[in-house]
Amino acid sequence: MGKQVEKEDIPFGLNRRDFIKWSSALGLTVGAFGTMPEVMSLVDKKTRPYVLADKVIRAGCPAHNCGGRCLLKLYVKDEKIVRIETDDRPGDTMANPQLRACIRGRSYLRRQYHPDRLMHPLIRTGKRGEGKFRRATWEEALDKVASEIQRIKKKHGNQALYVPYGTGSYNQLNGRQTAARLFNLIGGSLGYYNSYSWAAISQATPYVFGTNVTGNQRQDWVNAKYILMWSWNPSEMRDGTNSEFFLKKAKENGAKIVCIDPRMSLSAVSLADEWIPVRPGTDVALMSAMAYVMISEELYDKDFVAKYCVGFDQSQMPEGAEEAESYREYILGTSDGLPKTPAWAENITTIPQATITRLAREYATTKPAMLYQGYGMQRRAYGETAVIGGCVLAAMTGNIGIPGGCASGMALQADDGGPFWNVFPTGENPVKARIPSFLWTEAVLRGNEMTAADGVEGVEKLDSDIKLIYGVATNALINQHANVNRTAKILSDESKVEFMVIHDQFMTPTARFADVVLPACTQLEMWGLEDGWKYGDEVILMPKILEKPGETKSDYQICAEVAERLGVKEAYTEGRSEKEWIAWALEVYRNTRFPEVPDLKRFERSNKGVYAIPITNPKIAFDDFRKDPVKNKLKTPSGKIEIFSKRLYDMGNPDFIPPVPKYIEEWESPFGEEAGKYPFQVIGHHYMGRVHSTHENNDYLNEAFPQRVFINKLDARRKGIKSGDKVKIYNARGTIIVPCRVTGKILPGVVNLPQGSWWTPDKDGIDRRGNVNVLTSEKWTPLAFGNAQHTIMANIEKAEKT
Amino acid sequence: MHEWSLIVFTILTQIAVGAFVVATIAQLAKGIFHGEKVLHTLYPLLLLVAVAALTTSFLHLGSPLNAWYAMNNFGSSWLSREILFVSLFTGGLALLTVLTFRPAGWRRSYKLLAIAISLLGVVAIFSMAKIYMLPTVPVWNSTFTLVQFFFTTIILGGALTAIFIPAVNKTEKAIFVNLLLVLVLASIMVWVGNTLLLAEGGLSATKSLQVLVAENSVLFYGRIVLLAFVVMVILLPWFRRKMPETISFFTMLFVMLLIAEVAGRYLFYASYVRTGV
Amino acid sequence: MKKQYAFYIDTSRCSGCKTCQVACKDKNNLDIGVLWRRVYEIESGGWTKRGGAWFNGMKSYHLSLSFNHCENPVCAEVCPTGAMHKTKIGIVTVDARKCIGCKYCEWACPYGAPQYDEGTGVMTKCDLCEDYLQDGKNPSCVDACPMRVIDFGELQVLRKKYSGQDELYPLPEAHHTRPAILIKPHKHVMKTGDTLARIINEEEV
Repeated sequence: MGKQVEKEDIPFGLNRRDFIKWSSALGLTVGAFGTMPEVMSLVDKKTRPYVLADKVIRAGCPAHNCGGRCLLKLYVKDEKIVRIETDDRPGDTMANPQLRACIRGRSYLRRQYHPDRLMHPLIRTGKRGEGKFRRATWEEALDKVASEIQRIKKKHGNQALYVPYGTGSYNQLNGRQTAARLFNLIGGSLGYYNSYSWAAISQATPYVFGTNVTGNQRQDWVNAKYILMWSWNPSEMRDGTNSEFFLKKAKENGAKIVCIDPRMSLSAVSLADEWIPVRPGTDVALMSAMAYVMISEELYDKDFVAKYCVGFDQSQMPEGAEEAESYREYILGTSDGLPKTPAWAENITTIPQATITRLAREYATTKPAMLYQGYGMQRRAYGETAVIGGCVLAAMTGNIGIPGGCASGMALQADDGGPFWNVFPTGENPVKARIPSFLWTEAVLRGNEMTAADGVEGVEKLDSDIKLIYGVATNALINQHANVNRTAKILSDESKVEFMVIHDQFMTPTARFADVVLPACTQLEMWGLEDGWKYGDEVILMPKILEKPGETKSDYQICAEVAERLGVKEAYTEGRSEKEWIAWALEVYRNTRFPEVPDLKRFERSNKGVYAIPITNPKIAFDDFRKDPVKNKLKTPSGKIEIFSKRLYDMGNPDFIPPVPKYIEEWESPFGEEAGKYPFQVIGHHYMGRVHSTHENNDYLNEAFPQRVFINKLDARRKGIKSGDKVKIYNARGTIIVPCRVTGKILPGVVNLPQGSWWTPDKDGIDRRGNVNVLTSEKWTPLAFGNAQHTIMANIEKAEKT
Repeated sequence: MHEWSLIVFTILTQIAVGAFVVATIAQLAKGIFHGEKVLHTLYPLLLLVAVAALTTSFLHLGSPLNAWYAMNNFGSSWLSREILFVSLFTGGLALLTVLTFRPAGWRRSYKLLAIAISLLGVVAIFSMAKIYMLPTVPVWNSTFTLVQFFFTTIILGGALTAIFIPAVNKTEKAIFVNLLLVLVLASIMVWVGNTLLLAEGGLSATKSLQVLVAENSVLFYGRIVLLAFVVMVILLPWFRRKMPETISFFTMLFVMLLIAEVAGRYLFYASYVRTGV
Repeated sequence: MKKQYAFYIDTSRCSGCKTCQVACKDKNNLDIGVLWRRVYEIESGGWTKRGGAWFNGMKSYHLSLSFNHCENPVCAEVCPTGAMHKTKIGIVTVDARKCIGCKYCEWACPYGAPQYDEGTGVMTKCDLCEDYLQDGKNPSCVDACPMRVIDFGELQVLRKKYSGQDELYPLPEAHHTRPAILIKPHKHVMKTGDTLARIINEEEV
């Protein structure tokens, strides 16, 4: 069989005598059959798994937008990676834990060596969106790209160029920032702010605290005695490698953990003492009722509120808003005649009032307590006020600036806000205009009419519609953007967006709409470096391990070649190779957050893959503010925690941007007229088997986590649906047919269709892979102009035999 | 379903063993097969059936080329034992077939050989049934399985042999038919009894029951109807006081019973549900 | 020297992420459909509505199961060829050179450990990463778990280190094969034979 054998010659302890006896008897018969050698070698390959590698390299897991930044141990043989293991540093303490990869990192070879990898540049032949392409040379493809950029820039101006949001690759030289740098060197392009992940929470949190750095370092979580995980699912998302491990430590240290989530998530099963299912979109009703209990039973921290906050009651309203409704008045119903009691909240949230009351008491009286907000609750119609609601509860209970507490909100980690993520410099964008990342389709349709009313920043009004899209590592144009059918129609119109380029590793639904598709290499085929995702006290090196297959290039390389055609190559590359840029990035980390990190040569030679700073003294957000609120006042207008925000008050939109957190009935909800036709709420959580839409074609992951719509068993029984049946989910925006899973771990009236599946419409336009964005709405949130993609009403039915 | 080869294998083996045993008893008890000419058709036919059965059994294996090892674990595995005894039975049948074709014809000494081969066949069927009596498969794990396998053996074997009984032996034919009748009735009762037993079982037994009665109701009830029809077909000539004697009658009987048994065996494998995970 | 190895699983903290399942698949280059380690998702409980409120008694946990290294291995007992056997160091494993792929072990094992590989036509199963054991390393799944809920070692040693049980839903009673497994029960643990409990991800195992 010709491979190296490590230990005994014959495996599994098979006795030599037996082997000889039987194989000679066998040999005679086998002669006639002749296929034996092939079968045996196949069996050998499968049953003798120990592979001797040429080298073992420790490297960061390719940086996708999962939330994890983990370490892989890669076995390389004959220039191929043959096995993946993970961080095996001894110790694995809380101060310096192993960065263990999850199921997505462990199955990476199924993506890395997937037969559908794009190998050559492609130029569209059919109509846009048909997905018909022909192979082209790099020369032809890039010439076309460069000439289109120049043509459209000349005809429509730089504001017509757009490098959209995309996080498919997320690392220094691979990802959107490579194109942003390019365009900034040729006059700039239309910019954007906020994101699909954090629009509401990142915009709303500063209205309360003046900053987004509101979270204690994670090693502090073990000090909490009560942890309220609100719409937070770190086990599945991997909200930071090891977050769930830290929570487990907190549990072992005696913390009570409660999960509030419409579904009993993986985090809830493994960590929670109690799961409280809440109706999607009604979180603020629950928060308000909790506040009611805390106020009426005087359980809140009066001293803290008096000393550190404004707007809680009439005694501390800000200047110019003295007569406005305070938070207390809203909760007690003094102005609107509607006390936000647990009984009131029960009808809205479906949570029993006794549970609400108990929850409020427990959170208020167990000290210290952490209320941590996840991102599902804010990716909704009025997500901003839900974020502020959580922050206010944290303030009311005085759980701010203390070990074991949490100020809630965005919770970037103290005290420097956490990692830089990428330091590859994009430079300054000469175009000052910026749109909210979610409103790019508006800018395509009516860009030259968009103003501040549409969230435009930097200029009064846009000059132009978007005419050119240069997308790198993004599936957020078709697949991940709301209302897929609408977007498909918009992008199909070649008179609107005149030219679209996509860099990707696969022919994603977004790539199918491109005019030119450029094959990108993966992170394992190039140099990279990272310092974490939201949380991060380590620098992880990603050395180049494999050669780039086919004609693939890194995003940086592609942009450099476009830069060359546009005459800015020197400015773009600054004469640096990919590896030199990584060395440069490492210096940035050394000069800022990691003064002792080894230089690139030593780092690479050590083959450690990671340089970590053990955290023995976790930083506490706002501890200085708590010690001296005058000297260390917050960056808010009042210098204090703004339970009532004058800035929000001044916006004059009290129904949708209330100055105190208020429950607002969503524009598509079980309480509206639409519920007659579409009675089910649809949520789409971040599935363990994917990273958004990355890994969608990974067969190991599809086997472990097949795409299904999850339906409550009571609803299923009513509709005559059994687990495994194909189910039709539909609303006015589109129709999906996908198999279902019947479960009791979701609130009745809610169905869950995990997000990220690749949009695959059949000849009738029905999506067959279950892309939740077929159902979502393009409407945006009032304050952050963010995506409200979880606010969906739809109906479900058992699908006929199709 | 990979079980088709097992259905064919078990039924064919049981036909071969059953027919051989019944023929041997008939030969020894009543000397029915004086004219060895019948044996010259019957024995090769049974040998063909047995060999076909063995060959089919290879089809359900993932790696048939390793089949030489299959008798290794005779000490603890009923499957090893079954393979051994089926092979010995088939080998013995081959030997006896060859011997009966010798000019001297049937000799009295062949009696002992025939008895020995019959015993091997019986042990083979016993082993075959024991294979399925696993604690992890409730639908199979009862004496009913043993009884049903033997019923199949005798019923199909007997019905096949009956085709070969010379027309002159009216009484023997009558005895045959009566015995067959009793057995068919008994097998219906056993079948129903086994199903009822499942109803008192745990989750896996209930799942098996569901497969039988709900998901394959046509086959399940159809089989009972067919067997009842066979009973009537047997009884009818009785009432007319005219014994059936034509080969076509017995052939038809055998075919109907074969269909019923194949259906039953299909249901046997289809109702497999393993406990645990 | 024959040892009685065993796995320890803390189901109270298992999130069902299946990293263990895939780490094993990657190491052993397994095809789709062959799962040497399987993660079962268990559920029981129901919902009632009273007024505007939903009350639920939902219980759930996950069980990660590979091979229980039974003290009385039924699979080896029933295997006709002796392909399923105990190695020198006491691990029950499949000798692919003898296996005929008859699947009898699959029928007999109440834990679903023997997995048929369509590609090679033989039975396969978790081999406790025997090659790693000989190097003093843990099986791949143990060091893969992001929640650190799997441990491994000699049964006697594990029993001293942890408390746990060897039967719960969905496993059968332990006395049949005497599995060498130590399971820390989840607070929602259901008993063997519980008629109201369900494995709800059956299509995935």
